[in-house]
Amino acid sequence: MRNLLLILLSAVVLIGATRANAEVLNHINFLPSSAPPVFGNDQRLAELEIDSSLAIQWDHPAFLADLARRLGYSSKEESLVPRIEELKKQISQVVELQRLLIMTKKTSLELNHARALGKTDLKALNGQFLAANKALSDAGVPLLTGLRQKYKVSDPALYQKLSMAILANDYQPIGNVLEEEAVRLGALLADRITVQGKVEILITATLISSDGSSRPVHLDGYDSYDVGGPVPFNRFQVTTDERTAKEVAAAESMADLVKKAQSGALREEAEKALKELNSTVKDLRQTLETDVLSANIDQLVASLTTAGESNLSPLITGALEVRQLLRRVADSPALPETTDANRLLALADNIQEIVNHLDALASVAPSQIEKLLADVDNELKKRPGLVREDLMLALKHSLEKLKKSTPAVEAIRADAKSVLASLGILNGVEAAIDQSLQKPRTLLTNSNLDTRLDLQTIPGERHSGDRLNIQVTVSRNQTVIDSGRKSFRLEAYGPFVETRGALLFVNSRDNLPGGQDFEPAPGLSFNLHYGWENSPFWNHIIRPGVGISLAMLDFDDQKSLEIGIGGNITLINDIFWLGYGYNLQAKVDYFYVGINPLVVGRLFSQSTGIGKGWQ
Amino acid sequence: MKGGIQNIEIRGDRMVLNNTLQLPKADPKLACQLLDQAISKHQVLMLILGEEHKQIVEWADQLCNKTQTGDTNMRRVVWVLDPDATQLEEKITSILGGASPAVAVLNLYGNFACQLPEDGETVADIDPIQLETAFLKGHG
Repeated sequence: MRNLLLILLSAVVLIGATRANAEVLNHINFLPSSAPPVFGNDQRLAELEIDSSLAIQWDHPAFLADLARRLGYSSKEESLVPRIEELKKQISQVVELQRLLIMTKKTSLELNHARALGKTDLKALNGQFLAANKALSDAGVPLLTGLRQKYKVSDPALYQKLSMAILANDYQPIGNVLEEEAVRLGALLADRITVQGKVEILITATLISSDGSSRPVHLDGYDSYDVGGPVPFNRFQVTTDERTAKEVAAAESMADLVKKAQSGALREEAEKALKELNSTVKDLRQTLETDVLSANIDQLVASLTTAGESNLSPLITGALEVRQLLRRVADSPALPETTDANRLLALADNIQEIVNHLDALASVAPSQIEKLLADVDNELKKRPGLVREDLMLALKHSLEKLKKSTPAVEAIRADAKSVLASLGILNGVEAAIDQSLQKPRTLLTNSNLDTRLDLQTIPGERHSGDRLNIQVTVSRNQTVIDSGRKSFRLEAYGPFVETRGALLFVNSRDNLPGGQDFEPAPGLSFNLHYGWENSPFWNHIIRPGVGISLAMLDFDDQKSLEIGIGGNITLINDIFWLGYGYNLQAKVDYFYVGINPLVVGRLFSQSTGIGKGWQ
Repeated sequence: MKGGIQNIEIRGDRMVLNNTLQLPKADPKLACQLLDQAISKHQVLMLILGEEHKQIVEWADQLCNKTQTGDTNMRRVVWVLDPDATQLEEKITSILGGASPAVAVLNLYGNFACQLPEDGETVADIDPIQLETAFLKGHG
């Protein structure tokens, strides 16, 4: 119970942090291919049709203006910010004016049509026509007067463009001219912002399946994740997919695992896996000889410091930076070797920290040491004897070792993932370990930050109810300055059939020799569901289903194979099952209740830290 | 007669006006009748007073295209080539209340809505944005 409270508390803190810092999302439009996203009763979670694609488009000028203001840039940039913001406001007013023009023309057509048909009572239509004209006038006069006052004298070139654009058959060209100007000023602002520090934007997409597993999703230009061929959602799936197989396997092993957990055997297995991981990490440290390298760097710093020359201070700084990388690896937290629930909750963070430090050592340290050695070599030419020759040789030896360390670090990544998978907890760590595949975009003049994803090209399965998380992170000089997350829920509208696995508790209607009350048995069901638009309570809370089930039964000790076939209803996202069936071999009726083993297993593992094999 | 007057093409200036009623100079009486007819049609009318305002007429004619719906239009330009002709002058004075601007806009009810150039400006300051603003005032 205490653990559950901790998880809930952490979730509240995380949600709070995300909300407080998600202004970047105000500058992004999420545009699905099928229809605008439908927001259900839970306004934070938009619905996304399961076969659609999603364009992620930035309001670039507004984003830049916001960025410049929040970074506290100088007056030069500040003068651009209000101009861009004013242009964006004017653009939205032009869009509204265009809408009102269309409405006015529509009412005019309706009035003329009614007149042509000889209708006599035109009072209502005439009223609508006059109201539309007035709305058009009320919106247009201040807007155009404002544009004239603003730009006729201050920016004659822009005003000339606006004057030509207004002669078109509608107001859209006026909006285009203003948009072009906003983009031009945005590019100017981007130039000035990036002069003062590299700004990077990273967008990642993750598909969280209803079984709790997560997969990274490819976003054009932001990562190198694989994409598959377009595969439409299978509305009438009657074969078992990966999730169903997992559920059936989980159902089969659940009883055994509970027994193991009760006897303490599961705890022993988990502790053994952790010991192995600790040992692997220790081995890598030894392979890389981080202790030796660390001592050599210390000696180098001591030699350079003893020389006492100010022009050597960049060399000392460089050496200390390498020393810092080494120290981080050495100081990485030891992994817990007990399966105490609290420690297991921190396990993912610890493993991620170790992998990150090793990764930095393998990828960054070689180039830093190489540069350091080249610089020291240069100094040695000027001052022979500054650093001992054997020290330089030792450092070069360590450098070669580090250059060859990438495969070893890759092996650690694989081990870490495998240990986590074997413990059956904390799926998010895999994504963290895979983050090297992500490519942040650098903010440049006129750089296009837009991207898109196509749900049909996500490799693997996708199901109604899966969650798509889009995470946007803005950083400057590798420090995160803003981030936000937008979540969508995948929806299959209309009827669809899914196969699901369940742990059934089956009760025979007849007392057979060796039979038990509510005997656990793995089952498989083909469930028919119906998805409605904008009905999250129906689709994901109640989510009723009607299906046909198959179950492996064991009513009669005399029979080696017993298959049951029955009908069932499912409720609460297929978590609870209720059904009635017939044992084909024992020739008896039975009724059953069932649970989804993955969902129940996940709840259990979150509250206890134990859950091997259930997810 | 009406169609011939509405669709004006001044070949020398390559000026094609599809939404402009040009009031004849030679026949002020007919011009007055045509103006009355135009006012009675519940359109936003832009009166342009003076033969010299060709550019303004061309812009205003183009701006009328915004409200074209099928065969009808909510806007129309009336180009008064000779506003000083006796009968016309009286007529215009009665509509505009004594003012003699280069451009005047009448709303859907035939009432005076606004005029150009604005205070402190000259005819040379009139531009398409200002003309569209004037048209919009006539819609209100």
